[in-house]
Amino acid sequence: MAKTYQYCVAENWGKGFIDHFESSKITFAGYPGNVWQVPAYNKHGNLWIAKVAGTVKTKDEAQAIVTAQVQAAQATWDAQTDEEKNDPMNTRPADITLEN
Amino acid sequence: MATYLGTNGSRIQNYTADPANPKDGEVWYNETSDVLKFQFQSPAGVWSTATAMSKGKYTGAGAGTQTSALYFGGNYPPGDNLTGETEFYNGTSWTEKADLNTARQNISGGGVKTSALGIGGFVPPGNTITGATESWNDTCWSNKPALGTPRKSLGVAGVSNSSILGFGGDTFTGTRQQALTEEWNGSVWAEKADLNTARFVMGGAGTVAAALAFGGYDFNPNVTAKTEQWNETCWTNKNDMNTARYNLAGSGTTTAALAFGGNTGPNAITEQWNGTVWTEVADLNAGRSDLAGCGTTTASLAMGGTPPAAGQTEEWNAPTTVTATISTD
Repeated sequence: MAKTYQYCVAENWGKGFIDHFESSKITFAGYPGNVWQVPAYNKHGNLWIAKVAGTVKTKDEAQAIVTAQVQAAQATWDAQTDEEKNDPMNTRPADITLEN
Repeated sequence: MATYLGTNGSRIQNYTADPANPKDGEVWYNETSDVLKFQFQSPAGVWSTATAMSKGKYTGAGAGTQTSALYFGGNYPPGDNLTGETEFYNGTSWTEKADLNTARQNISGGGVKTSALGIGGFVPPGNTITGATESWNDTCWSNKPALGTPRKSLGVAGVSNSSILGFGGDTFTGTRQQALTEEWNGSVWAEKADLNTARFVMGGAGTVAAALAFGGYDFNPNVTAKTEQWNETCWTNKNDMNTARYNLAGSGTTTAALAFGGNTGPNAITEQWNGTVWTEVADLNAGRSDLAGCGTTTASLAMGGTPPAAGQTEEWNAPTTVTATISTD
């Protein structure tokens, strides 16, 4: 099945990391672990990954990085007191499933 | 009939690569790509990344404009460290300013870089809710009379340290969600008419005379998409947001506002208010909640937030410059 997205790991250095032109051309999605999702088979996505010197990851590799980050956040949440956990707004970090 | 030569003063030029700084309306032929291109201003806004804050802050408050913004208070990792730090963004980079007198999380704030107000919040340990009010004069924070009802996570509208509206909020005991509205005139807080829907961690925009409250957490059963508009006397229900959420940020006015980020479901969503309805527009590049916002629908700033707590900053601009290819397909 053809993939819709591609993934890379790149550290967000701030201004210019994603500029307005790039943002107007493609949709970005950032995930824990400096994982970024951009459209697959897309010139602007490929150019952006090259610009930020992103390390391309397969979806499974990217998923592993994100899952590790989420599990660490969940462990931190699990270590809280029952009083803290009972706050309805303090929800346990949810699992993140990356799309193909 | 007008011609390109007549309106632009030159014929369409051939280039081997796109010109570095084309003018709006300029058309050129890219010989390498074998296509005709032009540049124009698209009304659609988009987010771009900007320099991150010194720490991965969240649950703090923001004030100002896209190129002159303050962020103060909040938490930073690891372990929800509490901070009273104030940072200033000048459109390029962040610099540290004088700390709040009372470090706190879930603080609310409004105003501009030279004249801002920080109100309420939560001071752990001990689950202490504070109504502390601090006034910023571009140099330091000074303590002022506290909110009539101490609470955290209020919605805020207002333009200076002498003109702020605080609405809703969380008392963290009993019926937590509040509908209270209080107006600050630079000296004292005065209670005004309640919100129709009691809530906290909502978005806010506007001024003390014309404010907007949107989204938030209401325990009824939990998250709300409701929008209310303040006319200096009372709150009136308006059309809901498309996506209910809390811990979101807002910017703008009662006739042109942005709501971005927040908890529940996709947290990168941005919606734009035109005075009547909310329309979904371009997402944040990095979805997050517990962020702060300031600015207008043409130039906004999203500051901090989590997860991940990385102090991420994004700039919203509309319209944006777009280079397009002219196709005969």
